[in-house]
Amino acid sequence: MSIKKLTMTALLTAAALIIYLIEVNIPSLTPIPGIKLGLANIVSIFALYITGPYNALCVLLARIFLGSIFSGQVIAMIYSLSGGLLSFSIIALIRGFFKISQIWIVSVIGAITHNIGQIIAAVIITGTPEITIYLPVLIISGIITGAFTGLAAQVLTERLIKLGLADLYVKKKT
Amino acid sequence: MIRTTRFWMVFFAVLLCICGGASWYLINREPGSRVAGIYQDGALIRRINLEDGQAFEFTISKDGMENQVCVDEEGIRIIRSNCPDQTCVKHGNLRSGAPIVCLPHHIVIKWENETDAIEDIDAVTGG
Amino acid sequence: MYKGEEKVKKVLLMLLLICVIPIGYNVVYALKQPVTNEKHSSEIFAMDTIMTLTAYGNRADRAIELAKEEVKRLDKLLSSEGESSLIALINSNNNSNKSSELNRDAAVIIKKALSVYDETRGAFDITVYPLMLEWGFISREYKVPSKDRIDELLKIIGSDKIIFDNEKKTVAFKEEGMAIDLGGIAKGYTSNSVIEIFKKAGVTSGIISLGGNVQTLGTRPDGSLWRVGIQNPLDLYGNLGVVTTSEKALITSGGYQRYFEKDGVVYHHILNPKTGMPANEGLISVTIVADDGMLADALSTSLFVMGEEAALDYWKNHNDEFDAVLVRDDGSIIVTAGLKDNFESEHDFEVAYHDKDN
Repeated sequence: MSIKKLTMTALLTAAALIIYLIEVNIPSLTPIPGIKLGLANIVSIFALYITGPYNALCVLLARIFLGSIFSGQVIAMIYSLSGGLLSFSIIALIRGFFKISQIWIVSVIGAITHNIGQIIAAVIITGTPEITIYLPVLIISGIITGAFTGLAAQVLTERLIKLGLADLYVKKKT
Repeated sequence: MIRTTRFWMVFFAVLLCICGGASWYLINREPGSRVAGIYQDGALIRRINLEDGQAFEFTISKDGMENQVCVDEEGIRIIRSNCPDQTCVKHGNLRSGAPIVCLPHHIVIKWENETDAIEDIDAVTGG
Repeated sequence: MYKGEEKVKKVLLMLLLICVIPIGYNVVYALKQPVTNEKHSSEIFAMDTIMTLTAYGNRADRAIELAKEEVKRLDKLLSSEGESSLIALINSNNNSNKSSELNRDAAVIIKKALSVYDETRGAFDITVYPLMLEWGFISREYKVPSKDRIDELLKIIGSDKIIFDNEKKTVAFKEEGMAIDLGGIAKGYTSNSVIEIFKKAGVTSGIISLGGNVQTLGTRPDGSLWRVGIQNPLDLYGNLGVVTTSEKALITSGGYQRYFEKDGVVYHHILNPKTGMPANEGLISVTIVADDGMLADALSTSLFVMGEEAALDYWKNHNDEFDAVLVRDDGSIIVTAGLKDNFESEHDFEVAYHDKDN
């Protein structure tokens, strides 16, 4: 990997981590478990489009591990991982389907699947299937927050490419 | 067609409505039971019949994870917890449909089926 | 379409593999259950009653078999009648000051019985056997003895008249005609033994009922507390409440368990050792919840004899050893503070507190 890429990945990791840690300290708005802004995903999506799936995965994993440890909520790690990885794998797959102007759609899909992943984890851990009652609410939350962070990521990506500061990641044929 | 932005906008809008309706319905369903069950790690810790009219508080404590539960004529709720997100405390009283969840502490408080509660006896002490 | 489809498949595979880790962890975490949760249950008839032994897991069968052997052994040893009964032997050896040898079990039980006699100031007394015989509670040929006869028998009743040597494991009686009966404490000792056998056999979850004397090991296999009903004296098929518990013995004494009626008066089998008459202190049932089965057994009778006030006083001084549920003649229920959060009932009940920190 080129030094430029390595540095970029490291910077993105740092950015995601910082955003996450700030967001963790904002008190939760609603009594419903699992609803959050997910602002760090702006970086995740940006990383996916600019540095590619492998690097973006590193950024995501590093952010989840370090974020949970630094914020002191290690229990949250299991939920974040379930949601995060399910969501990431789906996003990484479908990103080619969409144009850059549709990044927000990808983000919404990611947010929805993230919340689904979290509910699955919660049902398994607490052993009470009743928690799935929260699924519809979490999907709504996913659509809204996903659109918001998606637009931010989209604007970021579009502008930087336009300014020539970054290139869209393209898989090299081996 | 799936690749147009418009498709997805419509899709999300429809999904939003469906989920909106679903949550409304689910959360406002009558519970049909006045017996609440408290579970930790999937195991029933305690069953409380809210029809008794008794008022009391107790603390669930496991490995340093503490939740203080209050039962009175208003209902059952978690009034204090040392968990990081405090969602469980903010939930307030257990109403229809939605269980009270303390995810970090793996605690769920939900309505039980009446029959489970009454017939659930392991042994009887007496003559 | 987009370029590099093979690479996409590689990404997909890699991501799916990584997904497995947290989801797999979740599944393993949730499945942290004991090896098997199969329920094994067996019933035997011993000590004049039906006993049900229940244990869970793959060690349960063996544990229950061992326990049944032990119960049969103790039944023969400790009953007041019968060829192999040690107690019958002791009682027949009642020339005063001639001592009888005790085996380990009997020594432990008698030592505890004497200790409870002291602590309860005579409310629990194993020497009432002659009176029990006189009333007909053993033979079931009931009669009401005359006051003179009772007074006469009272002279040879009183555990202070037992000479017990813990070192040599011997017992002797000061008066001729004395006799002991371990009925009020033997089942408690037996339930302790069964639980020990369960533990040694590797069982972690079990519950036994020795004719209504309940003792539990661990919790239910899913981790939740055992739910033990307390029989309603006024409606023998109903419960007046449920105690949620783990690792405790729950034993109940009540006049309603054995009684007869004569000329419109009801006489039950729990005699006051000091008066020789059925205890009549306003309670119809006493349930003791304690770690020690022997203590629970002995105290259930003691507190019944003491009556509400003395019983609660006694509890206040010993509240770290046991808790109790008392039922008055009118059906009202008192629960001691330690059970406050573990007693469920459709009826109202009072809670008794000790003044130390509440």
